[in-house]
Amino acid sequence: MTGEQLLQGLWAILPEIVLLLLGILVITIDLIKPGQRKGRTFGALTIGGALVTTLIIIYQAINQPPEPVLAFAGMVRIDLFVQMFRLMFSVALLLAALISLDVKGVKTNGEFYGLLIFSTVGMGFMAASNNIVMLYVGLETTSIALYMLAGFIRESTVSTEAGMKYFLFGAFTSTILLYGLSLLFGFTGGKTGYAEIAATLQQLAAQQETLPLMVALVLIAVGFGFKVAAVPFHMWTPDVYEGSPTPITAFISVASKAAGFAVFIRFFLIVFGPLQEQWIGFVALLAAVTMTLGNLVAMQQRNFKRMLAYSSIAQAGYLLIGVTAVGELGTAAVLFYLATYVLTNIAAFAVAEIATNATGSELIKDMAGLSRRAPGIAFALLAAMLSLAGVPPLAGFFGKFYVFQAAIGYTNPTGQNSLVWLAILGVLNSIVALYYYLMVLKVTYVDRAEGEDVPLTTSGGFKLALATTVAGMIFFGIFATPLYTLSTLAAQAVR
Amino acid sequence: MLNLEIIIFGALALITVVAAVMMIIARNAVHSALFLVVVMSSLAVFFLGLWAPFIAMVQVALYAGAIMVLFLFVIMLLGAERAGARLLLAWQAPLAIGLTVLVVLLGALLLLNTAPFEVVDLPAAEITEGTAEAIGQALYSVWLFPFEAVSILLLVAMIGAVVMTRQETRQEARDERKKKSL
Repeated sequence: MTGEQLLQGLWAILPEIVLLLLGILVITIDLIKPGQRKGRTFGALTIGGALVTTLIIIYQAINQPPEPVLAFAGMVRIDLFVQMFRLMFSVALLLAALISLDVKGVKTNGEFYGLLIFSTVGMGFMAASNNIVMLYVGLETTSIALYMLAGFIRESTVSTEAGMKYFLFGAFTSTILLYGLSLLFGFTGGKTGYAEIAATLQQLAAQQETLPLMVALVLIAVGFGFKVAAVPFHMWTPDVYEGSPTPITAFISVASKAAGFAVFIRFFLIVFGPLQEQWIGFVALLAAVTMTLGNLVAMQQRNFKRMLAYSSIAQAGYLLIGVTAVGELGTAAVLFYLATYVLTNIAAFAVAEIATNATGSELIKDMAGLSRRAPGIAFALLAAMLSLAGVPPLAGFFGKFYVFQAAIGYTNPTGQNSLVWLAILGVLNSIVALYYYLMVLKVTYVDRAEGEDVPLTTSGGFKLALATTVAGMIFFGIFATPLYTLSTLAAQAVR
Repeated sequence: MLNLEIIIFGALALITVVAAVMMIIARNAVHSALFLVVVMSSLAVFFLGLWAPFIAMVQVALYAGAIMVLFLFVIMLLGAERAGARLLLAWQAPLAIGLTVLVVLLGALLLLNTAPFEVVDLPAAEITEGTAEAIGQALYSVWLFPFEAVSILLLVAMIGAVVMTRQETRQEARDERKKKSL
């Protein structure tokens, strides 16, 4: 490796390097000043660092060369697709740190912010990976940090349970993924780079030898399915979402899901591209089951965080429709959907934390009277719920619109469209989902509660996070074009 | 020569699979750990057969040695060697064995029914490929980046282990008591 190549490589992974240094800085400060009250130092550092990283990514994305940058012997591939995911991760980190500032048990803890930052580094590696070894290392870095974070409040039994469950399910599916990857490694005669594997699969597909490959494909889909919380690999979701500290729930539900989709798309479109005809039906089925089950079970939830967990499973189903509609349109739709979903879900979980703090209960019925106690917070909840449901003029509407449009516009190699049924099912599902999202709004806006005249005070971190996300939801709901253009450009870069 | 190789492979494979099954069904955790040592050691021999002496040694020293000692320590320290007197989920073991046999049979059937596999003689691996020197070369050239990334992974795991096992400091304990008495 020449010096110039090394510099180019380091520049390509600069966002991850900055985050890594930030994480080490936070942990070190925590170490050298033991036992003292450090207040919001760590939170402020994390927010500042995430902001700097976001700016670096934007700068890099603007100056992105048209050809993808392959760095470190082809282990890492940086293109606009990766940059867009990195942007989502760093924004999610920023917002998660903002809503952690006033959460009991985590707010002044250096290790909490350190692990949060390290898991973002892992996500960056996942999205940028161009090699199955790199993919696995990135995935594990992300997951291990998140296991710790889910069980971070050790005094709380639900948090400990969440951490343990997440860890056991995660470790198990990660071995399944590893098994799939090793089979792929064997079937292709020792290839590890995405492009080389794809080339070998092309030859094998031409010889009709796809059955053993399908075994590897299914095992790998299990690993990715766990990450994005798709049915039937969703069992961990409700308990982990309910038990984890709320900022972590928000972070897992948006950033970890986005990272899962980043590898899902890259792997299935590029590496398994030659087997497209075989897997489309399989992933379409996964999408159909995921959104239907997620929505049906979400309707029966009484706990707000559990309801959001099932809602996030359903959202994964809609996103999988976009993956199924292979091609630019589908990928662009997924990217747009994910970007708006980051804002929406973080807002929803921030409101969940505020309501829980105020009433000491996570039940939906105890959110009654929120609109009179804190009109601003209730409005943020209104925006988040309507955006999740896909009501215009909020960003979630365009997300769903583009995904369904991609499914309807999809044509398979023989020129037929086999995905209209999926789009119809998706629309039916959104109608079902409307019921439980509106139920929450009914409770907060219509139902009366005792003590509803007591105004609710919220701290600055929550207010800033909610203001940002609501502004984003409304802005992208009205001016969807810039974000959609970016998504299209990023989708074109996948190939 | 080929026959001898196949005989050794078959015998070892049998030992490995039996030990792996015994590890799962043993009712004493120490026995389980010892069966795992057998699995690890026979895997080391497989690696030797594949001309990978370095991996074979690492397998013995790290897995069969260090990691298993840790396992045994933890099991004995916690006094967890005896599982509960009665099986809580007695139906699981026969079901698992039945399903495993079924999957293996199905796999064999599928393999026999699909297009016959070509037996390809791979070029014999160079003996230099599996040496410590060759692995070092590979780690610091092509695999440099994942190698470095693993160090981040290990750092995260280390911090996580500390976080998960930390004791409450005296100051925190005092604060907690003060809060409770208020």
